[in-house]
Amino acid sequence: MTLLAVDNLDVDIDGRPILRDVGLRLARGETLGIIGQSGSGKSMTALALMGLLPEGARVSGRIALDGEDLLRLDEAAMCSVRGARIGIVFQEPLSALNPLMTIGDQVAEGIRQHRRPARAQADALARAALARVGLDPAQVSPGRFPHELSGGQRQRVAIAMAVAMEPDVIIADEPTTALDVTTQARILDLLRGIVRDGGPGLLLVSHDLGVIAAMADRIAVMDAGRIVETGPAAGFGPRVRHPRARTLLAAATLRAEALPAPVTARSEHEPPLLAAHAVSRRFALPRAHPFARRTYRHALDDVSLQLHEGESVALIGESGSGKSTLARLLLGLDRPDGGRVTYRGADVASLPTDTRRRMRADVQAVFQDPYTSLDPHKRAGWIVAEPLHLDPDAGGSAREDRVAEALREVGLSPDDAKKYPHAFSGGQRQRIALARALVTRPRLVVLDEAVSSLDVSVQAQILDLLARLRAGHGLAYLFITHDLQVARAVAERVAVMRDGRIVEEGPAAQVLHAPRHPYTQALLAARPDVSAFAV
Amino acid sequence: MNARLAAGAAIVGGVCALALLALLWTPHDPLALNVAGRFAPPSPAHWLGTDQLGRDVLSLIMRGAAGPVGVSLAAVCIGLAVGGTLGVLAAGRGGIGAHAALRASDFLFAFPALLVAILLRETLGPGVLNAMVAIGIFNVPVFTRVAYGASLPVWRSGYVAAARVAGRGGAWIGVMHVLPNIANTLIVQATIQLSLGVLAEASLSYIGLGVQPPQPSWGRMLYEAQTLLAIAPLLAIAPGLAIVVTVLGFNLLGEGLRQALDPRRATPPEPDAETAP
Repeated sequence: MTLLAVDNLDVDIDGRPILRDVGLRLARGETLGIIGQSGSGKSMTALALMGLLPEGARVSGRIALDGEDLLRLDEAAMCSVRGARIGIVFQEPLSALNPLMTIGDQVAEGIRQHRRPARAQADALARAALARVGLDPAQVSPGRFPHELSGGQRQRVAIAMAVAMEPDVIIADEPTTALDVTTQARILDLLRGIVRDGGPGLLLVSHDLGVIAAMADRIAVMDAGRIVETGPAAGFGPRVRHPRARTLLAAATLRAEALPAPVTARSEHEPPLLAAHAVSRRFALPRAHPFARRTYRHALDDVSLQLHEGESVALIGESGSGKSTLARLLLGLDRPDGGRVTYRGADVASLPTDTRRRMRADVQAVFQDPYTSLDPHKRAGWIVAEPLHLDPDAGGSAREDRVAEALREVGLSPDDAKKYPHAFSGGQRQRIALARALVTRPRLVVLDEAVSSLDVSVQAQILDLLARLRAGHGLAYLFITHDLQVARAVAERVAVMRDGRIVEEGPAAQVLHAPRHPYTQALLAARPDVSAFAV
Repeated sequence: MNARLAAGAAIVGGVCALALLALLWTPHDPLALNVAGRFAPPSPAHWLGTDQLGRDVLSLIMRGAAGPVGVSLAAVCIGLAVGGTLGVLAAGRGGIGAHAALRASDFLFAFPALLVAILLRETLGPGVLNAMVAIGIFNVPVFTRVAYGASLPVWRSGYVAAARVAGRGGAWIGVMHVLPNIANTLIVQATIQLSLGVLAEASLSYIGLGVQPPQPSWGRMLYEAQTLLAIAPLLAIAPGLAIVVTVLGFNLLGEGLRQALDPRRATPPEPDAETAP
């Protein structure tokens, strides 16, 4: 029977259309996956259901929960629906929790608000809710604060807050986007179990096709504020007719085949372009008291990695595995505590000035977040030209030509040089960052999670661009990523990191299809399968 | 432009214009004594009356504006130059040096501007320069802290890492990337320090450590009017109001700038336009 029925939902914010004619059906014990690019209206749909739209929003249509139209309720009545009958789990587990309240109190807060039980009873209910999401009070005390928990545990707390009231509907907005793949798999298992046990309907919002594929009974694809495609998950891909929905699915499922097999010709006798030899890096932890012995966190422990001319290497690991620390050492942004980093066989710690400049021009980088890697106060042309001082051939008028050339190469127009970063979208910004990395005509580009914050179709375009650039210039890449699919698509050689060590390294085909190390096997097993979505 | 910014800019602009005008022209010579015409009530000839020595109060107020405005401006420049540089450097370099700079600024926080001014007078004698330096020293730790806090995230941002990878040194990054990105914060803090500087200059003049006689100053006018409050209350009200209005003007300007320059109110980026096939 239909639990939640949304019909003809229109939302405008300050006169701008946000949602148009959205219609949804959700039954008890059912999971409806809503997928779409950022800005397609997925999150706004979730907020509209909760009556949490920002100020200036105009809503029309019908949102019926068990036949009662939520849009006709006043704020006081809506408060008794929120939390009690519709629970929500937000994306960012750290900011969704109050840092000053214990997790037990945060879970009990909703129970107290809605049921007004005795204090001891509320605490008991909170402990039961925490136990249900896998935070056994015997092991993880409800008296702990959010900062004492891992990302996965925090998301469990957020889920406990949503399920504590036994709501009819749970809305989960990108519940695993901030988590590692192995943690993601465990959180998805938990959500699946909750829907099966208690029988609430789950509305799962995600941009990740893998997550939707693993969870949803039915799927709705959103684009530009409309639901453009909807149907049962089984056999969804081949049935999709809407062109934008097909593009979205194709980008996510065909990425592995989208790139040509790389060609490499290199001499085995030449020293590697850039290499780490048994490097270690440790960070001092805060001392309990001034006379305590210093303790260290070993971010990197005896790690060696060689990067040759023209080679494409993927470094895979979850957050905290040390992969970004290794990238910083290789880029010369940080120094190792032990071991050495070499550029064409010479230790980078003692390079003569001119060789150091050549290394800077040869080794460039693109960072993860396109919103912080470009100075907001500088024009795109200035940003792209910043490394050009390394190239003696790029003075005067040659400078502008080189900038225009780099912009054209990444698919932007030379006229874009005059614009500031805020005028560009996330994907375009990442193209600017790439143009900056290419302007010195480097031999190696380090891509530190360079596509992980982009939408899948934009991701596919950037990966495609990277492959073409590599074919054209014989570039070497070091892809640092947590995304196995990205690694599979781009790398010839793969190294898997965990806890500051490389646990497995070898040709991509071997590591990603026949992994030997149990951790690599676990990583591969944790990745949801999207093959059902191939169009 | 918001209302506070407009009001603050108008008041500050007015005070500055009056101070400049007073250097060239005042209704009467502010230093001319006329004991026979003392304690004159407001009249068309003397809009704000005359004081105990027969000087024109309006002319005194106008000429007196140069002290607080000039001193607080100079003091803010000292604070920005020393404190701003220290803060940006400390955030960028880190380590022992940064700790030393921050502890030193904490140490300076402990000394009120008044105490510094008294110390300076003991060594260098009284004068307007001492007031500037004393209030300037008082500004240094404020700007150190503000610049440190604002530039710390900038030094750790992706674009600074990218500039390092581009082979740029610390000085280039500090001037080309960090300063432009913390300028708004520093400007807002500067207007607040200007208002505090006006107040500090008035207190220093009040105890005789600021602008020296015979040059008029708002703080000393207040001091001198104190004993005459029963006879001529306007002699205290006029400089008092002048101080209040000027401080209010700088505060409104600071608040207005804070609102206008707040990066959180900047226009949001365009949605991802790259999704079309």
